[in-house]
This record gives sequence, structure tokens and C-alpha cells, in this order.
Amino acid sequence: RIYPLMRVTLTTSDGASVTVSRQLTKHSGFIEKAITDMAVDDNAVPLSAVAVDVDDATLKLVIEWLTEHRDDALPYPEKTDEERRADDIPAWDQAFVQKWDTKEDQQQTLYAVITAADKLDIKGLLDMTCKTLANKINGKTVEEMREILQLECDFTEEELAEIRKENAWCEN
Amino acid sequence: LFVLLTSLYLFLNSVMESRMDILSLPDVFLRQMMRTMKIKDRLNLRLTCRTFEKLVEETHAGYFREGFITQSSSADPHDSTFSLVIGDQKLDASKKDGLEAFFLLLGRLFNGISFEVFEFRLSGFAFTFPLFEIPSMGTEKVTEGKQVIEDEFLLKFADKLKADKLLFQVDTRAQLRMYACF
Repeated sequence: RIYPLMRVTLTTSDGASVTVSRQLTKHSGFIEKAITDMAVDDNAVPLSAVAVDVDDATLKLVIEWLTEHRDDALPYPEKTDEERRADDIPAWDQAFVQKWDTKEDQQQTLYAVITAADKLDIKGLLDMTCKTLANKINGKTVEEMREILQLECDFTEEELAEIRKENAWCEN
Repeated sequence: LFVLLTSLYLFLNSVMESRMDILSLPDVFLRQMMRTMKIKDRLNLRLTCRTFEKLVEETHAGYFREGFITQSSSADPHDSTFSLVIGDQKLDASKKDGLEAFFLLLGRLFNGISFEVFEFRLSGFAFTFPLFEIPSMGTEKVTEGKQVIEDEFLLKFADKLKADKLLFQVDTRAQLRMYACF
């Protein structure tokens, strides 16, 4: 059972401390496991600090997302046997991602949030960021994909020609 | 000069650290993302860089509502042409052009694919099966009609395929026997 008023103190990789409701941290597999491993009384308020390998700025974004999604159902539904769509991101989540400043910052912030979602084991956030990045490259040309993902082409001209030749089976 | 160089080093170091690379993102994330990609996008991603070419090859293509294989009529009686449709992407394979190359591409596009419904639409054509082996029935040769369908083609594709529902359109008992291979 989760006690909504119970609070957990999180210490970030850059030394900051943030205290949040257990209602939010229940969505993080990592934090929940850390609390379980502490074997403390669930009524202990506040709980001992849980160290997270996420910087303060990124953790603030994660907490903002968790606050909006605090009432989401748990466990997060796995959708391995359903067509995975990338165009069904809720409006609040879309606005949440879009408000991150400049284009380059947005990409770097997105990557930082993805990494944090993975480290903290927040499946809903990982799923949303996954769809966000997929939407950025869906339907784009090879050059646009390279630019968006900041990739360097390391193929030789001959190798590219060979892959294009293989791809030609599908390009009708 | 030392202070200047140290400052320059620290500045460059912070710039390098702040530039995160998509390829450094968690593997679970990249695999999940690849499941949302359309076949057309997987084709393009193959061309971006070596790492993504490998990622495309080693990841699951995800779940599609429907797909089918159908045989197209060919003016050349010695040729056989198949169309494999995955979602909104059509892949054409012709025996004359070399089915091996087609298998090769499929092998490089995904390591697995799932469908709600996958259909083998192979009726309505006259088939000649080459020699094929059914474990319990031994080798037999079936000669009907002019078009040739390669059982190898279907078996190779079925190897990567997972479907909640498989549908077969067949005309002959021989076709049914061949499908027993699956």
C-alpha cells in the first residue's frame, strides 16, 4: 500500500536534495526498490534519502512529469502485442517536451530525460520520450535523419551504393 | 598560458559532455523506438551510419495489424513474382532477380516481426511446387500449372514471423500439405 502523504528525499548526482510524495515515486521502479531494500517502516516520515544518478535539472523535469501522471494506473501496461503507435502522445506531454528552449537544448534535454527515465525505471516516461524521438524521424529523408540524430555518415560511397541496391527491393 | 589552456580544456570538456549521443542512450530505449518505426523509415535508417544499419538488423520491427504475401502474375512462365505487404509497405520479389537477395534484405531489415493477421494469398494461381520436404511425408514433387512458388521462400519468411492469426488461401490439396510444414 502507498501512503500518499509519505515523502521521500532524493539526492541528485550534483548534490541537491528534493523531497517528493511517495505518490509520485511509486511510478519509479528504481526508487520503489530502493525503499523496499531499506526495509523501513512504511510509516516512517520522511524516509531516508534515496540517491539517484540524475542531475537536479533533469530530476525537476522528471518530477514535473510524474506530478502530472501521479494517478496513472500501475503497473504500466506493456504493449508488446499491440501495434505501437507514436502519434498518440497526450497533449500535456507534447507541450511538456516542446517548452524546452532551443532546438539543440531540446534534443539534449530529451536525451537526459530518456536516460533518467531508464535509470529510475519509469516506464510511462520512457514510452513517451521514445514516441517523441520516433516522431522526430518518422517520414524523414536519410539526410534529415542524420541531422536530427546528429549522426556522421561513416559509409564509403561503395557501401552506400550497396545498401541502396538492397533497399531497392522495397522502393517501388 | 597554463591557465588559458586549462580553461580551454575545461570548456571543451564541458561541451563534449553536454553533447549526448543518441547511440549512448539505453539499449532498451533504442529497441523500443525501433518497434515504432515504419518499414520505410527502417530502410532510411540503414543508410544513416554503420551503427544504425546494425541496429535496424538486430531489432524487432514491431507489431502490425495486417500483412500478406501474394503471388503476382508474370508474363514469363519461368519466373515467379511475389509481393510481401507489411502495413503500408510493399516489397516485391522476383525469382528471376534472385530471391536470395530479397531474403538478404529481409534479414537486414529486422530480426522479427509480429502481425495480428498474416495471410498467405496464394490461391487463384496455378502452382508448380519444386521438390520440397515435409518431415513426416518425405520428399514429393507436385506439378500443377505453370507458376512456381518456392516453399523455401515461405519457410524463410515464416522463420521471422509471429502472427496471432494465420490465414491461408489454397486451391489444392498439395498446397495444404505444404503448409503443414509451418
